[in-house]
Amino acid sequence: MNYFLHYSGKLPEYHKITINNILSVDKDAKIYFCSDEKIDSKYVTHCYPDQLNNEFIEMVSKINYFKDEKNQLWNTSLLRIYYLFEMAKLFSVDKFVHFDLDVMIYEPFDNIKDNLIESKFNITPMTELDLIFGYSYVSSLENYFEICSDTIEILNNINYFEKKFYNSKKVNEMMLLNFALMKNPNNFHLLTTLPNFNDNEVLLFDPAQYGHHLCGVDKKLFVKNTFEEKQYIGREILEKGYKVKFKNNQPLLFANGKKYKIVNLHVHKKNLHKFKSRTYKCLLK
Amino acid sequence: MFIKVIRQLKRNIKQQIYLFYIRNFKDFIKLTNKPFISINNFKKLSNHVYSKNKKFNLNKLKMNDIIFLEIENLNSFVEHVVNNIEVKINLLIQNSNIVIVEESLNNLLSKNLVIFAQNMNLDIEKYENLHVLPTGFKNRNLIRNAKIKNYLNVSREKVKKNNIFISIDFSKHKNRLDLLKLIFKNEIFVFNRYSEHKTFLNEMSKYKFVACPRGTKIDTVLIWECLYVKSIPVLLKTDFSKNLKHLGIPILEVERWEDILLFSETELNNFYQLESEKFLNNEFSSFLFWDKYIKDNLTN
Repeated sequence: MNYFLHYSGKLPEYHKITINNILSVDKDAKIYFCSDEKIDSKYVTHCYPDQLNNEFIEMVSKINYFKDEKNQLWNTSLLRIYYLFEMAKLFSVDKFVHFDLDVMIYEPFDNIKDNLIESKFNITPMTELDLIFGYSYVSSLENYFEICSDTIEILNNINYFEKKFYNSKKVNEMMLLNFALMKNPNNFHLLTTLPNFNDNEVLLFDPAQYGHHLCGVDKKLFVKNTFEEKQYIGREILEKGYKVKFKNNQPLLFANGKKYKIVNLHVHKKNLHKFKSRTYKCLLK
Repeated sequence: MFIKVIRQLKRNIKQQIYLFYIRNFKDFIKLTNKPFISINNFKKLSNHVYSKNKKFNLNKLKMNDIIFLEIENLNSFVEHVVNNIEVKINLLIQNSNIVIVEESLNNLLSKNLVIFAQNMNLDIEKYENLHVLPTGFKNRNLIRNAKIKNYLNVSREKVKKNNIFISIDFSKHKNRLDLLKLIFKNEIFVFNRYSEHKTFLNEMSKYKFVACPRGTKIDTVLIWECLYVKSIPVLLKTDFSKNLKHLGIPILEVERWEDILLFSETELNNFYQLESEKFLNNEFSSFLFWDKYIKDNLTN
């Protein structure tokens, strides 16, 4: 499977762990990386953001939604939605997996196929208002194009959405994607993040909470081992008491006597070296 | 910074203690949340609790006794108890995983029993011996989201806004996604991001209507919390919603979620004025209301 990664600014050291982990877990992985800093490796096909200018990016730049924000991260996170589309065009790729650079995976794409829906944009839901790139799979560019267009339309009327959904505060790219979901739910498939005892699915995806619980959160102390009630997963675990463990290099959730494999971990704390998969090999040095 | 760290540490310790309790002791503690309804309260009404893992003494069963059981134990109950008794008994069936339809009741409807069942999509008017058992509030032993003081301190606003409040996990059931489209386009819907239980109840109480789509179950805690704050649940028309209506519970039924938009603001307001009169003499989320309902319908 094609894996698209994106990072803006100076590349953190942990990018190598993310890449090595993908290559170790998924033998069929092809990695495409868009960053300001070049990655020279036979394992990675690299491109610069400058190579990706297109109509969407121009439109977003014109809207300049985060013009008053000092932290450029907000803007680059937003642009990433469109960079992915352009990357797909540049590399002539129609289907790809994408997640944040601090995400570790534990299952090859072939093993999770049955949990995804083709022709829809598969993504992890975090809260009522946020869809997050904990794990996502674009199965058709046509469908993703529609989502990109929807988000532009929303950005053009953003005041309405800020007022209606977020007390007139500035929204981020996660909320923007959620608004696109509201606009056209048929374009999306929300990945399973919690056990549903009526289904036989045993694979779960991590939007962020499992990672927060097992690995901690960057620049926050004593968050490890806790759950956040605002997040769907945190709310459910605080009620049902499920256990989340990282055992033999595999994140697992234990619920009602059953064991569920967690496909990915969002390692917000960036201590990715502690959460390598079982098959981890250091290919990119 | 230091205060923030201390606060976080305190929160962490509190949560660890809570999780330890939830994982290890919750099931052994039977707290009641009277005066409200919850499944533990109904359990306490029964004379016997049936479980396939525990020995059940048929000799102790008397005429008109109430037996509490979980739906997962139903087949075993029919085999070991129903097929071996001649006395008329009452059943309270808890069901936390499936929606009960006729087949789920394993021919019980034709037996000499009175059945009260949770999460049931069956028209009670068609069956003489079938009655509703509400999901009610979360069991008190869940502590965090079942604090009685959360309910007692909620404002239960009398002057409400003419909107439909929505606060649900959209990933729980695919039908919930149909609602998303409506929220996006229409001013009538007020969308809420859940933060914590008390805030959620207070927020919900500000609105006349609350959208209560089904989750994994057809009956949800949200319906009973909504009724408690004197807001009207909006439900898709099913036998379940028909049953609630039949019991005099104020609800707004729609065939499809889009149908909400067919109501003008005045119509919605008039509907609320009329239906909310039912709140004057009844507390639909109170144990007293359901205790009376159950007792009125027990075998004689």
